Amino acid sequence: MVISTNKLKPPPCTDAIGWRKITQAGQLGRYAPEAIIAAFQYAGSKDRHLREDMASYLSNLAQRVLRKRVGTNKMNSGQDIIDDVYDEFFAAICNPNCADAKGYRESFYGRLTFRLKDAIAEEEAAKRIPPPEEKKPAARNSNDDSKADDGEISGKMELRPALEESADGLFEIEEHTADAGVKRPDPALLQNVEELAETIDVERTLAQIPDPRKRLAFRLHVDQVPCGGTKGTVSIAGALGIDRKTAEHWVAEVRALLIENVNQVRAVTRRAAGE
Amino acid sequence: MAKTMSKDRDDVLYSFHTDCPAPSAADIIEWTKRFPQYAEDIRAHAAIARDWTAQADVDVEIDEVTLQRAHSRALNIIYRSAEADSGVPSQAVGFFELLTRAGTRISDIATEIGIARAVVADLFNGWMRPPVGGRLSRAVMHALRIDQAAFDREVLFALANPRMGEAKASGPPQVLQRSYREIVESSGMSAERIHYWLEED
Repeated sequence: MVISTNKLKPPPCTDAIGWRKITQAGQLGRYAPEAIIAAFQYAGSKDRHLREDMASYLSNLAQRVLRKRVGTNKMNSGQDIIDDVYDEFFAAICNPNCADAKGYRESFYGRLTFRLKDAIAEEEAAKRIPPPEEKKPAARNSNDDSKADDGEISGKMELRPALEESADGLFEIEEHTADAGVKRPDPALLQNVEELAETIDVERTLAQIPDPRKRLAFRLHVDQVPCGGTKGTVSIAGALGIDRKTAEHWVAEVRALLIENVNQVRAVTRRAAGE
Repeated sequence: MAKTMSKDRDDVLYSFHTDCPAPSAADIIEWTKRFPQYAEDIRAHAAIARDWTAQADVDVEIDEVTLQRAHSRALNIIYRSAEADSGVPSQAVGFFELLTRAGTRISDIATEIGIARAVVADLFNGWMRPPVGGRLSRAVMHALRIDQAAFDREVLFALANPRMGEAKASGPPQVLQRSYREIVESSGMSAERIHYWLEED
């Protein structure tokens, strides 16, 4: 996963003079991070100032990669996770012989985002203390409960069509109020804003769900993967190692939360439009 | 910490990370069947991968204080690593030696960061009692390319070896050590600048 393309051919990683010239000219950005890390490790070991200047560049680069991927909904606005991964990154590149140091020389973005993923997963696992009833929903539910669940799911399963239908309704209202002579924003523009707000809100709502398995179940549901199925069928239950009832329960739970939040966004959008 | 995990686990999850940036249900089933011992890790990574795929690909702005703080952390790690390699703890050398090494002067630093020259001079002369204001500390660390630990060592070194003040008719030169607040407030800067330098992030 080396993303850095269209970069200049770097001098040898041991060429302290060559890298010093590049650093002083403020041209590190023209070279692949992997080459800079190798130079940090080898040329930097001979020239402390070169190493510190390169550290400054790599520091900013790492911060941007990490901040982009860590939501502020995490503990301490995500800063703890960023600090942990960032510190590990610098500790690794200061030790050229460790496995991660080699990994960073091969793929800076790939290795850093991998470590970040691991750190987020670790924090989410630490936060996840499932309530007792959530562990075995199939055993807890009676047949009647199962039927009730099935009915609810079959009625609300398709989130996207439901949202589109509601957006159409809003669009009609906008046209009507415009005809009444009241100055309103362009309906087409308003519709775009509404769609954007809903997209953002869906992601923001999903980000509030601490259990990654539930988020994943919902995303697979949006991929039109069935909750369960016969043996050998690709299903949410199969992917997550759970039974069908649990998969259905999780999808319904996330969907209910989303519908509630999207309705709130829609109400705010309408108020902003002057209704 | 993540990097203390076993090599096999890292290898499997890193391969999953690179091979399946947006894992489908079929991908997850395949990988959890191949590596059942890491099934929960694979699912957790898959969930985060899908979260990232759904995110808008927009660069984020990071404020200067955060970047400087991060840079200081990096320098700390580099210094600790160098110390661990050499087995010898770093020694203070004096702010004026650091100025020479960095190829700068008190007036340059003061101009660059927008503070009265006397404040920086008092710090370097060993006339400022700690604690030194956070904004000034970070600015000086950045200018001299030193980390927090080195800065702290230099402040203590300067206090222990202060430069003499000017001699007066009434007696010999004296060292008057004042707090950071006292020095900033008497620096002659505008009220707005004084407020800025006394404020903490």
